[in-house]
Amino acid sequence: MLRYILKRLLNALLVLLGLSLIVFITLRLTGDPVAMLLQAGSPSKSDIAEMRRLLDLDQPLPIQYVSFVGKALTGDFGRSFHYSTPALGLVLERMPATLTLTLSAMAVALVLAFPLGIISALNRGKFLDFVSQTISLLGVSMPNFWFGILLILIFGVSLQWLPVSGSDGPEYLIMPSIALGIPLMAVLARILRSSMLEVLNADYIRTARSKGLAKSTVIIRHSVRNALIPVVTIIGLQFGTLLGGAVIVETVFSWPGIGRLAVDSIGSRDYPVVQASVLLLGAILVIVNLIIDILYTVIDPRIGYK
Amino acid sequence: MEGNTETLSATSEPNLLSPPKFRAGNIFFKRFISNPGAVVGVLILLVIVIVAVFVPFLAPHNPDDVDPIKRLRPPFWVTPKGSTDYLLGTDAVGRDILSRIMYGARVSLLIGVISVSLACLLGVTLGLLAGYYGKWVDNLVSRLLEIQLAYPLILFAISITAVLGASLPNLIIVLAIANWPVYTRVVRGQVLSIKEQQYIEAVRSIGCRDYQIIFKHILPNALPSVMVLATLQLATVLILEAGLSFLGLGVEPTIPTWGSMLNEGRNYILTAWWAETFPGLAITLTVLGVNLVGDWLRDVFDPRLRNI
Repeated sequence: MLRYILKRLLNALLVLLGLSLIVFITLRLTGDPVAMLLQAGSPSKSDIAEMRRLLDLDQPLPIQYVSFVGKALTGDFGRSFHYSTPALGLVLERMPATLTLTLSAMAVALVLAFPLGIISALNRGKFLDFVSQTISLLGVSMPNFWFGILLILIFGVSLQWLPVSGSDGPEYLIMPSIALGIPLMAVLARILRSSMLEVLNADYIRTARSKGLAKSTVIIRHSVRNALIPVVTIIGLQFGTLLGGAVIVETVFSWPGIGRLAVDSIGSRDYPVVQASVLLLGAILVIVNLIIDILYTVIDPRIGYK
Repeated sequence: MEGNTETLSATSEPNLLSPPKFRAGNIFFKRFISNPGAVVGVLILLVIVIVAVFVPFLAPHNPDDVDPIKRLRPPFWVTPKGSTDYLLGTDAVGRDILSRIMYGARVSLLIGVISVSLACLLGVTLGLLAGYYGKWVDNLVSRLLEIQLAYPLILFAISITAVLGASLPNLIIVLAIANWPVYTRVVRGQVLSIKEQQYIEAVRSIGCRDYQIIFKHILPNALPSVMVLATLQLATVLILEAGLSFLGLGVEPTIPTWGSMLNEGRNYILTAWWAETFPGLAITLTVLGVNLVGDWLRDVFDPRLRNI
């Protein structure tokens, strides 16, 4: 087990190294940040050269990259071109907001997906199944940011029950997490339904029923637990979608997370901040997928590690 | 007598020399008709495709006609300002929302179909190569795939758009680059199992070259899954395109797309809900149609893809 985790961690480091190279190259192609920073006034050649030296942009690209990776390993992603503060600090400052939003969206998705998926599977072909499937289908078909805007229109503007933007209290979290969580809810409910349907036809469920076990025990302890594996896989795969989705939802609700910071920084070519945000989000994704892999053994002890 | 025999054989006896052909098309059609979701999905898509193709004849107004006097007119049923001239109202500069949505269908479908085809081409080729040749090719493709999966899709698309600039061809390229991994993963897995089959060993032993084996014997077996996946990916791409356009990173501002309409309408959300609601409904309806058809294709051709 330990060997497996170490191997996966090493692989994760390689992936992050590759990611850092791609981010580095992509950003260098976006344009000259010095020209953008000094566009006000008419800077002299020496001003430009001085600015390049200050921002470490006067070295050849391979040296810039090696220096970037070396420093990043010690947690130094350079200083933001715009805020003149350490880039990592800026990103970490926004991290709690993004993680809070993402995890609440995940909670919304799970809390709604389980009853929806289970009810749907237990009532296959009946009216409840139809309703639940229609809700799921609409959930995967709606762009989450548009759903967020509808929520703002209904609960923020018309009914005035909830604040439309900002992050000054728990009530500010309700609409963004619902907007972000609904598409994931829909995906999970669909997977849970099909996975439950497969499990419900299995021999061991018939055995459990014929033993005279209570219906709730058969459903919760025997069926749902076994139907969980594909659901857990999807949670891992969808976590990236959730983090990506957070970028747009944060913009809609003016939520002060990494997503908005990254979008603004790409626009202003603030390399250090973009690099730090993408690598941190990438690291979270890689770690979440590792945790999911380990979780499999808890859910299904038959899965071993090679 | 002869005539009688002919009549008999033509009317009552089954013709044993040419038995009725197995008609796959008929079975396919019956299964389609018995699935209400698929029928609804196909009907939705049919309407949208017809609108997209014939939009110059169907749209009530020119989508770019600006008229500041008629700005922010509500839909026709909202009295007193709504009128049947502008069924779904007008936007902040007086353009007809219905006409822009109709023209938007053309652009969005074009972007969706071309970018899905490009992603499919790239992803399937890499999946075939990685699965067939294994070793360092597989290692390289798998690492690329993992890196791409660790790069949040929307951030990836935003940074590429920042490099290439916001334009229609660039948006198509971005969406194609962002979506190849899903095809590679599925095709690679399929090639790994197909290449162990006996018939592949047989064609190799009669001297078939690698490219013949890959394209003539392996690819056709992986195609049903690819087709299903491409349909389902069209839904993802339509939503991603809307998201990028919503952030102002889509096509040029002069081209009407559903995402850019949402972006423009956002600023008038308090006074003109229709400018935001109808383009979003158009996206949702189209994606719903694609999902319904995709789900049905998956159940018919490849139920194993259910968890992807």
